[in-house]
Amino acid sequence: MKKTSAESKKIKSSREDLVFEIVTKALLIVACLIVLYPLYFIVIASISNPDYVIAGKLSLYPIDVTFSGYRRIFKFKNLMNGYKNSFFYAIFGGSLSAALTLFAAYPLSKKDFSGRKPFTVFLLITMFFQGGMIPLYIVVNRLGLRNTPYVLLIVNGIQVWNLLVTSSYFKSNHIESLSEAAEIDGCSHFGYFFKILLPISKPIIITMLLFYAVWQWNDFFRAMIYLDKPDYQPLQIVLKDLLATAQVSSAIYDLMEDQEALTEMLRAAEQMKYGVIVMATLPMMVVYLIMQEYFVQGITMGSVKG
Amino acid sequence: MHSKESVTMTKGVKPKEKKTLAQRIKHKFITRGEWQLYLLILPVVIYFIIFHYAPMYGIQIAFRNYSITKPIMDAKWVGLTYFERFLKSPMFPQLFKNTVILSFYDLFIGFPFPVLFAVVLNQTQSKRLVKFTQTVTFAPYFISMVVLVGMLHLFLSPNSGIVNKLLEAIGIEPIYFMGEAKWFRHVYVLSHIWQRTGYQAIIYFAALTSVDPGLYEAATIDGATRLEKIWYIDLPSITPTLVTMLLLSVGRVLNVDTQRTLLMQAPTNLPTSEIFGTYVYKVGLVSAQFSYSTAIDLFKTVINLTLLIITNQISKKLTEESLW
Amino acid sequence: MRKKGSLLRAIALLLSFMFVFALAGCGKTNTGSQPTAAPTKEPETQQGSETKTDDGREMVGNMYKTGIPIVKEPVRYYAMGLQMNNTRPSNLDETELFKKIMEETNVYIDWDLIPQASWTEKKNLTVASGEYPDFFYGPKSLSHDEVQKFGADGVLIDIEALLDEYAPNINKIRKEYPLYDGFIRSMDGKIYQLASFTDEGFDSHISSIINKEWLDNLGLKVPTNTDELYNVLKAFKENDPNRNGLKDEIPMSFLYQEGNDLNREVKRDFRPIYYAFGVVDTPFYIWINNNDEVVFTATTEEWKQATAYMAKLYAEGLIDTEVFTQDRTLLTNKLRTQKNVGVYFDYRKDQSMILEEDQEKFTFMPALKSPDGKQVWARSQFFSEGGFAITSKAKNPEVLIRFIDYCNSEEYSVQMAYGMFKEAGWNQTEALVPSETVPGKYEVNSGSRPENVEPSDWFMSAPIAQGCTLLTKTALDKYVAEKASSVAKTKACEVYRPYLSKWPYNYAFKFSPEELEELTLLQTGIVQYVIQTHSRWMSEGGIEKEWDAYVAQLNNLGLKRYIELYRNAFERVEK
Repeated sequence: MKKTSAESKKIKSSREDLVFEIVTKALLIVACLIVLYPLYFIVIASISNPDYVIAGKLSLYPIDVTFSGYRRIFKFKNLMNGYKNSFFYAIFGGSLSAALTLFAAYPLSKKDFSGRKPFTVFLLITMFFQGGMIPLYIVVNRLGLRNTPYVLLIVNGIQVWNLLVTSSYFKSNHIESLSEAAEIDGCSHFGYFFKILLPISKPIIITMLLFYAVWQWNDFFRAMIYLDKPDYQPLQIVLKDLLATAQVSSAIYDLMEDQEALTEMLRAAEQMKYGVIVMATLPMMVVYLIMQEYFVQGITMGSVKG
Repeated sequence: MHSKESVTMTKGVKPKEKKTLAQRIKHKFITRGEWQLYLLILPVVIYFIIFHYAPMYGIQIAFRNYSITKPIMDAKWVGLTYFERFLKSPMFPQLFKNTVILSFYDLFIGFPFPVLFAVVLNQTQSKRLVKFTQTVTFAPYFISMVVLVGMLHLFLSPNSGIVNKLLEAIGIEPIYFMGEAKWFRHVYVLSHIWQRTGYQAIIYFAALTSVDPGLYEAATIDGATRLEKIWYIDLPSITPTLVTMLLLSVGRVLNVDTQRTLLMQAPTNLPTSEIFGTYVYKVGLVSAQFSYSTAIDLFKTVINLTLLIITNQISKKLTEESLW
Repeated sequence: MRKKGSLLRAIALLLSFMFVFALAGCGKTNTGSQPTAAPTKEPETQQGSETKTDDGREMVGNMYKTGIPIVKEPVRYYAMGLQMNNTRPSNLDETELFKKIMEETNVYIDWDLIPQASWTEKKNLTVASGEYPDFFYGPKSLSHDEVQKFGADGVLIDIEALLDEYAPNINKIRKEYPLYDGFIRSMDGKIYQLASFTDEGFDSHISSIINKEWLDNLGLKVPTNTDELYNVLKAFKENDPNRNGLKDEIPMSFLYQEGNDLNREVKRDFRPIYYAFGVVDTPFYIWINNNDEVVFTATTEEWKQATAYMAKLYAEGLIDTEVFTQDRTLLTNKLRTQKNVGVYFDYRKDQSMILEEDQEKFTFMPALKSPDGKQVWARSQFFSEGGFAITSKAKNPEVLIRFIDYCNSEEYSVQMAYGMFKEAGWNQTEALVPSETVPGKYEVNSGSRPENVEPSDWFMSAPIAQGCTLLTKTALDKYVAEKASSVAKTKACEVYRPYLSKWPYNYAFKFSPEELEELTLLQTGIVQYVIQTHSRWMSEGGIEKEWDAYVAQLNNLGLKRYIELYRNAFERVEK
């Protein structure tokens, strides 16, 4: 009697498992499609004849493939400079911010650190109260940072949230147990931090690097405010200028007597819209895919737990 | 971050209470090498002093009649005039309502998604599919706001957008998603879910993977169904994470993404899309009424802080989880 | 491992030092923050020491009072301005014409031209931080209100005396255009700015255009009043005027709003509907009617009727669903590629949004009459304020006055607007070449763009229409053969001339700083509220039910005082 009921339960549960498995798999696949399709659409739209895109005829595959949108993008004089600057900001800004975040997160993760509470409050306050743009601008200006390549590295600075994530990572169980061992060994804080903690914290280092790099990469507003001349402008600004050159304003009809050229320009503008999205997003996506492994681990362990 | 920690902290301090304060400081700072910790945190503290605390003197322009052509210190004190004006202005009820609805909608609809997604991920046996899905769903996190809103305009256009083409195919009249006031909140929240679910799910997924497998085995022996396991094992195991995340979100509830909202605004959706942040932007930067806009901003911050403190207290009582 | 550790430690130390130094830098002001901005050669002020040189020209300090070069020793100034068209190079000194002018005058300018999208923020920030340039440059780089405010607070300087003494070209123009002087003068009687303009005799800014081919296909006439327009649009929607068997027609489309900036004029191309009901709607809803009364448009009966009419059209699907979000590119594509629009509004008909080959298929729709017989069209004036304004930072401002005056000789003003004079067949850059049809005059060399040059690259080469150019009819007639686009605009203006209102819709009201402060606060509330309510009524209806509450709310927002301020400003000048 008992056996059969257990068996029937088993059969029931295995059937249940099967249904469950199918349902969950289906859900995941749907989730993937929902995320992937828009991205895929942008790519095919960037190489299709814009007339079809405007008319809404594009759906699953590119129509009437043309690369004229990309040709125009690559011809834009500041493009390469923009890429260069953006990589500079992403790499150096990312490293600088990540390094400082790691340094500060360690003391904050120490439960018996006497400054832990005051410093946490000190940092949390800044999440709520900001002085506003004008005073910050005045500070940046007085430090002589405006229109220098360093300004974005600094004003895009450190995010309190990332600090919390990192210190949470340092607090996670398996790192904690190591820390106790090191204390018994009589390691100094410096010794422990640099020699033991950092080497085993690759995931959070990479996560922070990537977070800050993406933050730098996608920044637009601060670059717009603090950089006037094109020499140091990041890609996002360059691409925005590029789109603006193709944007039709009422003044353009006055200036362009060449009607055929104007039509051509309009079509190009439509196509460039998509190409620009690809150009702006692709580099960070690639970096993400390469670093993916560490990344998930970093956030996983750094997730702010109770 | 945790109530238990504060308990252990006070415990740790107790035995040393007999020593004088100076001795204790000396002991901690020198003998236990705390100066090293201070040195490590120093650059960040200096950074925050220069770039966050120094500019904070700007908050006082909320109480002064400031004009950009003169230094802040020369502006006349006007006390709470601007706060009063804002509270009395007919914009206030609308802004307040819109901000609160949008942020709570975003919070409560946006919140379950990553949790459910993480549970589904956790329940799927195929590890390869799980990894692939994680990788894919994380990707939108890297898309900048401007690009994202641009994509929304493209996909949701009533004339050429793919979404409306699909709706047409099943016999529904095209919907003007980006223009109609009643659609703004849905589009905002759904696009947010699209962009953030993969990222946020990782946090819960992590909590789930650390669940002791023995619990599942025991549950199987007890004859629990999969749904029961989710309910009795999975959800309780992520509750602490959930509460912390919720608390942090509530504390920032009125800080709805201004940039995103601004980009998504159209004249017709203003009745639902005009929120504190966008109004502050328009009043302050665009029409240069800096005192007024700072006052509105400050007002928002005070509400945020109050909300945070209240929810934290409630949470402390109910779940023993708290931020401090 | 150990190496890595010590390296990181070194970086950490370095960073700490860096920040400490950064802190120390806080105490000093104005150090090295504007390296490019400061003139390399500081012009010294030597007022009063007038001398004569070998060539007999009088000098004040380093500056010659007449002729070129303007200064003996080269000087540099820093200019900040609004980039009119995004296709222009960001530095004007890259253009050939400015290179030439700077060499001739010995006055060198560091141009810092900012795209429209970020101009307001940048301008406010530079002024707030005290790091503003020697002069502001470009049409509407400053609004009238800003000119007054900055002027009163000493950011801008009064240039009237300098103009009188050193600006023969501009003074000639001031005499030729009596309205100009009133336009640039602030309420306190001082002149802080120059306005730019191009006088081609245009007196209205918009025209309404209808698809003649569709009308013919359906056997309909061009509508003359609002009821007829409604019937025509209805027919456009239902009777397949383009004869393709599909219901793909958009009866009417336009730009509901272009630009998002509250300070600058937001274009709202649907206003001809309001003209038909007898009210000239303006950006701030203030209009001077033909009885010289300053009225608030958005509470008038006419405005209410027009809005209700728009709501009816929208509700019945006679107006493009996505008018509220579409931009000019999208609308142009509808007109050019999809060709499915019946009625739209534009600056002119030909040489604009529709294709050249379709121009004959469209015709102007005259000023419509409302059911009670009203009809009006907005008059516009062509001055753009804030084109040039010298700040207190500029040393020897008279040099800048002489410089801007030099740029506005008849010969140069034309070249500033259309490109440099070149020989026939010139195809390096956009330029003015001798006209083939009108002997003795010049035309833009649009026909000679080389095949391999993109149109957008092509017209990047001249400082066209950018900056403070005062282009008079005399100068235009003297040098330039009429352009096709000007002919087209002239045609459009002729259609509406009989109906023009007495006062321009963009009349320049002048306020005192105190009034401005009060006005700005009222304005934000009132204008925002009207914009929001208008778009809601148009898309969802409800105007009849909510009208009284709406008017009450506006009164609540201080409407009475708002009108009063404008009325005082108007009467102060005109009565």
